[in-house]
Amino acid sequence: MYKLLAVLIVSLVFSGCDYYDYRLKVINKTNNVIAIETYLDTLPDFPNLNHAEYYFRNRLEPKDSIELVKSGKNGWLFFIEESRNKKLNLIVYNIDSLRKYESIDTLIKKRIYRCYEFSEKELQEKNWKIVIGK
Amino acid sequence: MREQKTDESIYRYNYQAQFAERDLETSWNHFELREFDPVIGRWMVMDPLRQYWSPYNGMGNDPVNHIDPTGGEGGPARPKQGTPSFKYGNIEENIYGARLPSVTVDPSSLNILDFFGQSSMPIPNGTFTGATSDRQNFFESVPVYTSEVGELKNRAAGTLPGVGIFVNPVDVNNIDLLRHEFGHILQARIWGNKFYYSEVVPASLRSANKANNNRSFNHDYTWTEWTANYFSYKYFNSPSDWDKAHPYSLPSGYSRSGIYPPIGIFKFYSINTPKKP
Repeated sequence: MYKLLAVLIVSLVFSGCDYYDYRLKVINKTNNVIAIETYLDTLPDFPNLNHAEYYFRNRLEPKDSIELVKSGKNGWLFFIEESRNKKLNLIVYNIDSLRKYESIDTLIKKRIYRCYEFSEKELQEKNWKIVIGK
Repeated sequence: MREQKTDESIYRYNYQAQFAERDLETSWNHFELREFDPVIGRWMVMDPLRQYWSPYNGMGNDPVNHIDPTGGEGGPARPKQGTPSFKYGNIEENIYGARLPSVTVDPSSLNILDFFGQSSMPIPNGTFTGATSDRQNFFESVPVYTSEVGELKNRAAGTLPGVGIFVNPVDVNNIDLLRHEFGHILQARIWGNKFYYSEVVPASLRSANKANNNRSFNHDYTWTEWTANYFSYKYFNSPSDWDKAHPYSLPSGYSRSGIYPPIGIFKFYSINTPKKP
């Protein structure tokens, strides 16, 4: 009886309770420390933003890389389908700018960011690895 | 007389440093549970928890010393704690520090039925394929096991209260993921293991599987997930670096089946969430 329960419980774990899609990787080839965020449009959407402290913690140093995560096995595919331009909209913030203004909202208001757009096909060709260059 | 001169239409962290959407027509701030009018210092909707003598009373008429971050339970203001730290056995460091040493344990010594008051059913040693030193760490005193078996190989994660948190070895320092999984531990502590295993786990699994095949279905807003985030967010004293990819409340106006816990939403918000010691 207990053996059966144990097998059931272990099975629950290994069937997974929370799935994530980590396929998207961003590599920082700039000389700056940056932060990455994705949006459903080319214009950053305020309510989806994290606080500045989140980006400080997840900052991307020069020559470093980071895996971006979406909930669900196909999280990134669904995210691209859901976006208004059917593309992945990647916004790059400079951490130095974020430290200066202390708020992502201010960076957006002043348009201090770089925006990249990638279709699903482009991402597949890049093997879901995006290089942020100089 | 209503007059506001500050140019704050974009900046949304004014009132008690909480993020709030400001309605441009009414000038009210929208919080998780209610609208707040900062000009008159009153909530515009009745208090669901009936905390003060008046259901519209803002921060007990003492906004200097009290806060009410959601529109639910208010209380004395206190400085937010910093980013929670990992606990690895007796070693504790801030997450900004270097990678922490792992603790070696033999998983065969674990009795996964301990939480039922039973014992003697060890997890098979071969189940875990990670390096020995990766097999167990701790997050808030909860064992974190790493494995690449089954869906864990694909970076899925699972939580068994009474046993521990199970993640891919790559995610053993993923604080955003661990905070969410720890929220499931809190669900079991608050609601009980029986409720967790009989209600939370089946509903969470159904929701996760549905979300994998249906792009319009958001697993994060199923009650099993956002309430886990809510408990964890409260436990860590509303950390400012919380990852909003793990939402701790429902979006305003969001509606579908399965988003409210079976205990009822108002009863849920009246729960006194345990806080990080």
